Amino acid sequence: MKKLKKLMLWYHMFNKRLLHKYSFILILVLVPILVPVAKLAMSEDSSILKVALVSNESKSAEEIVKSLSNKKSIIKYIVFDTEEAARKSVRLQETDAAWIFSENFDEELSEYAKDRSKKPIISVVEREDNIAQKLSRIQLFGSVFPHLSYELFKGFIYKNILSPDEIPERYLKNYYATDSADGDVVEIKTFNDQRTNSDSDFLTAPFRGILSILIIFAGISGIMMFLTDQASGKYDWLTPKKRIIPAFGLCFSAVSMTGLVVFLALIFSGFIKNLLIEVIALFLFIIASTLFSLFFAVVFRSAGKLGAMTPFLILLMIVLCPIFFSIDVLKGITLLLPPYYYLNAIADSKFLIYMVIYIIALYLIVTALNCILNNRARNSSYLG
Amino acid sequence: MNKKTYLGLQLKKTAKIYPIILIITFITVVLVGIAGAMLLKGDSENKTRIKIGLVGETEDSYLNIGLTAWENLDSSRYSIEFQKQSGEEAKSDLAEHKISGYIYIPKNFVKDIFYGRNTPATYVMSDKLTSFESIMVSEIAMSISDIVVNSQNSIYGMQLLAFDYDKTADLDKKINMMNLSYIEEIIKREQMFDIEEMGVADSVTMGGYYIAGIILFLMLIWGISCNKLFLKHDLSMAKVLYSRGLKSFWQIFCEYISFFAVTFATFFVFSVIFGIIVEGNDFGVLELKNSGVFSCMGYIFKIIPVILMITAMEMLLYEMAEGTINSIILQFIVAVTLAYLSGCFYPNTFFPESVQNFAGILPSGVGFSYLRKCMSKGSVINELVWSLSYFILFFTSTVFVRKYKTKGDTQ
Repeated sequence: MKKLKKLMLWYHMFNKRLLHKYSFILILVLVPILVPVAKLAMSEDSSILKVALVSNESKSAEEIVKSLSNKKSIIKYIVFDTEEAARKSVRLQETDAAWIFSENFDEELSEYAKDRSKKPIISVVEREDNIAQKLSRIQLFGSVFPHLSYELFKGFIYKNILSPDEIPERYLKNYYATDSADGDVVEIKTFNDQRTNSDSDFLTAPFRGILSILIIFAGISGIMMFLTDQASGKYDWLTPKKRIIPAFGLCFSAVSMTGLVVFLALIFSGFIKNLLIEVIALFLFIIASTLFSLFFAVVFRSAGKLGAMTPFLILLMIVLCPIFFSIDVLKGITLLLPPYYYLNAIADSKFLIYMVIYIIALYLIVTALNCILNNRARNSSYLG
Repeated sequence: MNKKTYLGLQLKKTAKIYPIILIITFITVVLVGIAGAMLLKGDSENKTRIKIGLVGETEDSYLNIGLTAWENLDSSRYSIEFQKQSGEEAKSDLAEHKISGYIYIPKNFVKDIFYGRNTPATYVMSDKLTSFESIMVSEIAMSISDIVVNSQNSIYGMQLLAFDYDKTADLDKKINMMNLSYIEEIIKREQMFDIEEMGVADSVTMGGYYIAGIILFLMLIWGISCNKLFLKHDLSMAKVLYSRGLKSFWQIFCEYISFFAVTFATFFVFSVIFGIIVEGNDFGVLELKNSGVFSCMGYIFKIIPVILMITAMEMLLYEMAEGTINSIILQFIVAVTLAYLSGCFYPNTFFPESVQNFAGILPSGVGFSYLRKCMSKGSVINELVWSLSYFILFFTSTVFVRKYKTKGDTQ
């Protein structure tokens, strides 16, 4: 109890020390303002591909262009009047691709349905062919398919069942449309049945990851402040082993205050879906980040060296934790990084348990290292 | 103290901490390089494919025929990979981002399609989207759903017509024929398109884009590495220097020269290492073809205006923020925000137009455009003017802040 009281006193003192500087308060206030503003800006029309469409006034092509441009999609469709204008937009990088239908598209489609040799009927112009371009063409095919499907149906009937004299096309059309199948074949759901995503969410999804790194860096800069203080002799009155107490206080103070503003930023931006999980996950993450930073306080003796290390940590977390990419490499290193547990815990609560195990392991490592390294330093100073 | 002595002292201070910065930066670049190379090379086909889990009634024979056809014949087999899993496995893999989503196949899914009463399969995607792939696959799933429904319309229409006109002889055979003709059309769908690749001309490929993005991001977070050079407890040294005749301009100039020198030296060393690596391997990136040590070194000289601009910005941030925590957090917030907005992580074309326009005039946006154009050998005059203007703005602002602080404290 006495120890806890002492820790709280350190914590209170360090809070006062940090908040004494107006620029720190200003930076903290910036976070809950910047994040919702950025989210709002990103909620405007966004897309992963911009595709220029040219119907060339062909009837079916106009219907296809209309259906594509009315589609709510992460591909943005822009209708152009001429092929030249569409090509120019690709060349000038205003669009990523152009899908151009010829003026005789209706006849060409009919021929395509009959023709076994399959002569292309849609011109696709792009600067380079990548996965997104390839997959987008499935959407194009999906829009052309209702027209193609009817042509295939017509061709099949006239070839295998009845002649055009037996059933004129106007009656045939009724057969194609009357017995339509019942409903969709696929429906879309989100994990845990939370259907709240909009198409621009993939742009703002990394915000939480970036904010989690910010919390860790508040901790690491707290440790750097401690190391600078230590170098100037501020903690000489404490034994080296006990210096971990002010290191913890300073670090926890910076991390908890940053954690609080991050929590506010998440609330203001509407990122929070399950308040209880969020609170527990953030609380555990604050402890994990503090211990993670303390590890560096024990290992590093100089703020300069730790500072040189920080870009390395930023890169590592950005590349390996599920913030922008989900890559399955260097898994062993990923498991050492606190944001991995925090970001996963929001989607899957079993990671809260993993985070507790991580915290216990980290606590034991930091305590053991603090004892070993400080004993060794003491022994070498006796020998020295 | 004269300018020369102060500059000498600053360079000495920089040289003292440089080895550790260089070693750690080297480890960083090597590790990121390994991760990148593992993604680009190795079993790159598997790593870049979008992975989708298949759960539920996956043992249906018709479904398996469809999957085999997909794996062997469909053009999307290089972009999407299906893997059969149990429901628990799929949920856990989705939570850990090992798959982009999973499809739950209900009981009698294929049978019900045959009879026209569709029991929909469910595509489950993450509620915490980390990539656009998941949304892309969901849109494709809806397109495939439309394709199946339209195929069903044809087949039932044909059956109805056969019954109405009493042409039911060999009807099962005809249904099979029609099914096959539809499957053939779907598999051969790429034949519908005449694909013309314009080439990237004076722009960069996606590979080149991301290399420029990594360089810019490294530049933006580089300032944090050099915190030892800039962190000050108070302004006593600046005031002493001022009282001995070394004006704020010259103080900042000497400090900036040492910072720029250490930055340029680091980027130069890495351009040499990178040049050696890419001499034998272009990693499939068009811009790295025929590249070597000299071209990489030449590139670093070309991008000096961007290095000048970004380092001046970082110095201004250090001058503005007080204390260790404030400076580091401010550097981090500015670096990540600028990198994100300018498209270091996602191509900037993904963003809304207003954001793209805004990002384009930011220092990082100007710098990124400059880096890309130097790669594609495009004209950089516009970006050069902007970069140098920003450099002058940041430098004079830093001098002004130092002057204001020193004078303010003296009064």
